[in-house]
Amino acid sequence: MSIVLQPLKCSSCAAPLKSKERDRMLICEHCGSTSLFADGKTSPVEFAIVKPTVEEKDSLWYVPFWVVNTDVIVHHERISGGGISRAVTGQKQMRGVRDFYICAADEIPEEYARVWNMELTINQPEFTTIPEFKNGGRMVMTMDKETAKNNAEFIFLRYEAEIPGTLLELDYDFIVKSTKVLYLPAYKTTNNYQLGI
Amino acid sequence: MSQTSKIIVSLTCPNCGGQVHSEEGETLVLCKYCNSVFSLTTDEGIRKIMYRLDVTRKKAETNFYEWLKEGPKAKDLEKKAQISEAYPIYLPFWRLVGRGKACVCGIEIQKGDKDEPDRRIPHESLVNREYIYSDIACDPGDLGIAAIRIPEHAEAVEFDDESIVTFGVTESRDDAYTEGSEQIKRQAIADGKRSMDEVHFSKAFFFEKAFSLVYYPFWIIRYTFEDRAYFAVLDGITSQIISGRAPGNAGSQSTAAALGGTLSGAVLAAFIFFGFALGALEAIAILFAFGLIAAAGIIGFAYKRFRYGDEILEGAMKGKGLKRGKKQQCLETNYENTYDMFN
Repeated sequence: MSIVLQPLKCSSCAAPLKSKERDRMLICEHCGSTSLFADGKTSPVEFAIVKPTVEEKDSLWYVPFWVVNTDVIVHHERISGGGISRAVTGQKQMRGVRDFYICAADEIPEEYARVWNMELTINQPEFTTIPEFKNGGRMVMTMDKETAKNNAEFIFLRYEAEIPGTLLELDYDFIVKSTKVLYLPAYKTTNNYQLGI
Repeated sequence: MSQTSKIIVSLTCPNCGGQVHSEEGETLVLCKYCNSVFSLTTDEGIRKIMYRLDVTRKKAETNFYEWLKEGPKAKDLEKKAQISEAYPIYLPFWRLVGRGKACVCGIEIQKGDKDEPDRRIPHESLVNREYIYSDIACDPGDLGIAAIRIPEHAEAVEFDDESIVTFGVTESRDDAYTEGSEQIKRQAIADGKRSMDEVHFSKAFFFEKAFSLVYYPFWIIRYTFEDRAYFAVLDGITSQIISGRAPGNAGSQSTAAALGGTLSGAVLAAFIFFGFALGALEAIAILFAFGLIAAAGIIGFAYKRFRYGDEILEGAMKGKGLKRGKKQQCLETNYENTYDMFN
């Protein structure tokens, strides 16, 4: 058996890629375009950077998220109890077309990532994009697209299980329509992360 | 370094010649000297890792003789056993590390008292844990080895699999991956099921972290006792006994038979005696039933020691004999980062 180290090249201009971080999003020093590393090769990728709407003194980082656009079709569901709580709190089941936000940076601790993923997916935030990573660093992206899709489906099930009432039966289709990469601003202190939107 | 993340071989950067380190499961590799970026592939499509043999022959033999003294083995076995050969060997294992996530919904049934109906309690659970699957990738014959657990201090080394003593891989990469990922998903659902008697909905996901073919070292010690051949397999890193065969103790067998019969009769008699002492017919019947069950348990235990006690089987050995020790588990849970919810 031999191990082969295959040099990665820019998906736009074919120049050899350089990086100091193990980042799936690789920026070409030659032409400036970004390539996505997946399945052993690079391919072109489009991404957007979100403008911070909250100002903090802490260091600003742009955290990569996979945004998985899906159509959730529930054919049958049975829940025991919790109807009044759901009505009072206004919590509705996830149905129809929706963006699922999946934090794609290993650097963000799981306890933050799982809360952000759920809150962003529920609230479907509106935001303004900016052309560059202004006043902040770009966080390393470690998650691939397929993992993000499965995580999105698990978030849907997590939501259905976490809202009031006990889920008993569920029959659904989870149709992924598209995926994209989005960098969201976050402020980092020694032991804390806070989203900047 | 955690059990699920191991630094593996150092490689040479094809661009600048600097040393490049890569961890298990990583396919994106960087050179810290020239910042070049590489995709790591293998010509067989699978990452192979070999762990260094840490245990010397002397240490292996010392632990082997200690093992001969343990349990109901033949009298003076450690003095009379003759080692016929002792050699190290590397065995291949498929190793799959990943996160299992599952959503499970169902009903727990609590039996009602007398006229009350059974209570049906709905439950839902979310499981989010890391699992480590390992399975032997070759036919180990009679060695009784099923899986591995890599110790914290194990050191991975660069190697050429044609230069080491090993068994050929008999299970395909794809079959191993499918089996491993399906086992992890089944386990995630089983962990979520917990007290549920009926499962009405379940869905599991597997998120791969690393998949590799691991060559793990062992010491094989073959020995004879009273003209019969036996063996023991020791872990080549921890020197623990993994599996083995040893002659049983005839004296222990006869003692088990005699003590088992006597003790079971005495227990049954004691239960009957207490039953009569209480006086009530119902108490006599209940204590008699308990006495019978206890006596049957003692007889069963004693019979097993008597019937199969002529040979001791350690670990995951198959065949007739008195089984001892822990069988290696193919699936382990890493509880460090667990995010479960049970309602």
